[in-house]
Amino acid sequence: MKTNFKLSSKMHIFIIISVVIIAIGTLVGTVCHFVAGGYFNGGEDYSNYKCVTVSYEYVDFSSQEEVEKMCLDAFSKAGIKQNSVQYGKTNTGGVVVYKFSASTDDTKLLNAEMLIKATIDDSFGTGITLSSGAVQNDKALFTGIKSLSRCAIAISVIAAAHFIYFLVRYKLSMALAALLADAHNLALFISLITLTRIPVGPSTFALAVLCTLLTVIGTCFLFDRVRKNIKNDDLKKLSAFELTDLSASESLKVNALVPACLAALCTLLFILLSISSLSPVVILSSVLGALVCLVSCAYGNLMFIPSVYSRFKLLGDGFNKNYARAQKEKAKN
Amino acid sequence: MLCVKRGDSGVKMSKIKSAIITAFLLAAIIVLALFATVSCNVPGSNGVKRYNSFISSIRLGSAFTGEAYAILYPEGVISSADYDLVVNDSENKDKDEYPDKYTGYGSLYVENDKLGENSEEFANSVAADAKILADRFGGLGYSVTVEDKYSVKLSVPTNFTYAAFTGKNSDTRSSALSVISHSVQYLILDGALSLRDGSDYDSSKSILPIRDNVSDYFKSVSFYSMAGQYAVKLTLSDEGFEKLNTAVTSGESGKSAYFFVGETNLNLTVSLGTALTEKTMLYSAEKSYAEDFSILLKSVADGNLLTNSYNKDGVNNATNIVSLTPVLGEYAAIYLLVAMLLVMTGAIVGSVVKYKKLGLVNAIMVFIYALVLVTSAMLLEIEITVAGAFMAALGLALMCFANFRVFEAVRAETETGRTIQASVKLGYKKTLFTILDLHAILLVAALIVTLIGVGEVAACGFIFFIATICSYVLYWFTRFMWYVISSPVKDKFKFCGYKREVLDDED
Repeated sequence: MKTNFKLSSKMHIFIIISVVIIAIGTLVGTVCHFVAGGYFNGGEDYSNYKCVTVSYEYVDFSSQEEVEKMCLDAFSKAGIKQNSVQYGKTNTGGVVVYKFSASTDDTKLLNAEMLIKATIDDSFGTGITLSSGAVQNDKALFTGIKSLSRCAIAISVIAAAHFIYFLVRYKLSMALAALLADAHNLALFISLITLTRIPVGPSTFALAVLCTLLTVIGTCFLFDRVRKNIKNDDLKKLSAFELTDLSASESLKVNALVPACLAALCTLLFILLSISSLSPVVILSSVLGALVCLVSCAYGNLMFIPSVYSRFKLLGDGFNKNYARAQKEKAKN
Repeated sequence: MLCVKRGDSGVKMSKIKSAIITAFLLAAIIVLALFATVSCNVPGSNGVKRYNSFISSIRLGSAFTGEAYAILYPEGVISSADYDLVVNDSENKDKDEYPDKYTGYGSLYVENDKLGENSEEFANSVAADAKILADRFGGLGYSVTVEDKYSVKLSVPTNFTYAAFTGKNSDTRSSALSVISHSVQYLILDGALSLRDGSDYDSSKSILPIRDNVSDYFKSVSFYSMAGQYAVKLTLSDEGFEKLNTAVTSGESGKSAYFFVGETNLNLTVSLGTALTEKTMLYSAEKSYAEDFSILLKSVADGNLLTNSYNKDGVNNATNIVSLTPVLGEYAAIYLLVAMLLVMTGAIVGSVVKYKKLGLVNAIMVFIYALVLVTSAMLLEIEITVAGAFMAALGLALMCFANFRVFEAVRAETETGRTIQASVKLGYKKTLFTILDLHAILLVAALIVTLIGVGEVAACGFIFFIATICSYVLYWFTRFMWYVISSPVKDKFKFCGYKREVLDDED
């Protein structure tokens, strides 16, 4: 697939788009850090919540369904809705855990609890116990920070390795563009996550790694085309802009198809896992995070990096020309 | 006059040879695929023994098999459930005492004595304990949260295999739960480290000077693992070695001293009456036991002692491990499998549509890729999560695009009028460095993620590491199978879905 996109001449537009998104994302994150309790919107794994836990004995309750029905009726009457529900097993019975957002009204939660207790007393008697309370979730403090720091180190090392490998196997201008691509795509991904307030969970760290890997793949395909075109006698006469545009259009197919295939998988998983969990909300944040990651990488690899690289190449070519001229003059003298 | 311009001709494989190799490969794929996907009762075992397929023996993340949790109540705190049990029991003699003794707080009841004048102090001590517990449990993948200010919740992904999750492999399930139970039992121990002359706390006495802090005797405590053997490795400091030797040699010969944390015997012994010869002491144990003891001893030796005792005072139920169902539903793993099968089908259909019979060669590679990944995940016990599935799909995309790129390069060569054999040779030569560079840098990146990342990120890195190696090996295997399968075919252009380029030889 070849296109006639003049990406190189649109560099300023792409830079403005990226800077605006990153700046707004940073601003929103900073404001939220002071106002809404965090730079990122912590997902269920990293935020405080309230929960109602109902434990029952198998002797009195053959299935969790009657317990569940009673609880859902009570929540509905109290005017609250749970974020998620999980069913558990103990040695002697079962547990149903309803999780609510931390902002859930305590009075409503208490009303629901009283309604459940009243139903238990009226209909069941014994064999069921109820507890509810607020959970101060320190996962972010304990495990989240460790995961974040290790993930940040891993991505930094990958970016350094990416730069060194391109420096050895390709050219300095390409290595610099690859480094910029890593930083740009990741910054864009983080900013969009901050801006859209998509809940951050453990999978977000894996998505950050996926973003870096997609950047590596994208730059490999783009700069491989550039490297090949430079070696072609006809094409090497083209200007830096023309050559970059040609290479970008030649690598467009693969650089667009890889994120597109993953986006298709993402949509497929969203549909199937929504059916599985009977609630799209549970999987929505992970899917949206993945889509944001894919959009960031596709935009960065297809538009931003080729346009910026054309300037790097222009500078590099100019430097080489001057250097060659200087060497020639030196030899003459 | 028109004729086909021919380049160099390759060595042809006979029809029989080609058929035998293809049949062997397909048979191997079919047999492996059966082992990988079909679970059944072992014939002749009367349904007692069960064979669990590779896929059902892969460890799954908490999104697919749920997590287990335990609530820790410090001394003086009980759950509202335990409170209700006493208060609603007309025959319980403590029934009337409880309302005066406890104050309700969320899902808990806290002794009034504990709350005292400054309830924040007690809450702070629980929070400080939670940090120590997070440090102890963090390495095992647990998360630690404070609930209702006065209780601590430990949660851990159960990482069951699908067979264990559905109860088809009850041994694995119960052993996974008993590992969790053991960790919770030992890592919540409070109190300092001591070495006592008997196995029972009450009837024994410390063999080391009471004023001494036993923790200072140790230079390091670590988990030791080599060739399937696991141990707790205790390394004594110079001073510790001297003092311990003095205490040990002065003990009654033939008896043993036991390490205790608080009042709990860890069953790690030192023989009395015999001088220690080395500063390093190794205690071999099962993997989970050795891990738990080394974490506990290291934490205690570092001076991280819990302020409160948890689940000890008899008014709470014993530490109860609750295993929860996955948030994504009980059949989430099945849906993930369906999604991955659809991705595979897409890759196969796409390649067959575009490259005709050559696409079938790529389809074989897709099958081999899937089997290698499933087998590796099972053997290496890699935890599969949604992100891990993405990495596997990315690896598949990498392999398919590497193959498609070379197919296109070969097509470009055939358009110059070369034979298929010459075009394949040139096509592979021209794409060699593109594919090599791509795989090399991705392999380095995947290795970095595996080694530096933790938890889900590390698992994703490992999956992609295997996927990258697999992709590169299969890239070359594609060439071999292309040669094998297409050898007996007369019209190789048609086989590959290429158009034969016809050149005018008058030129």
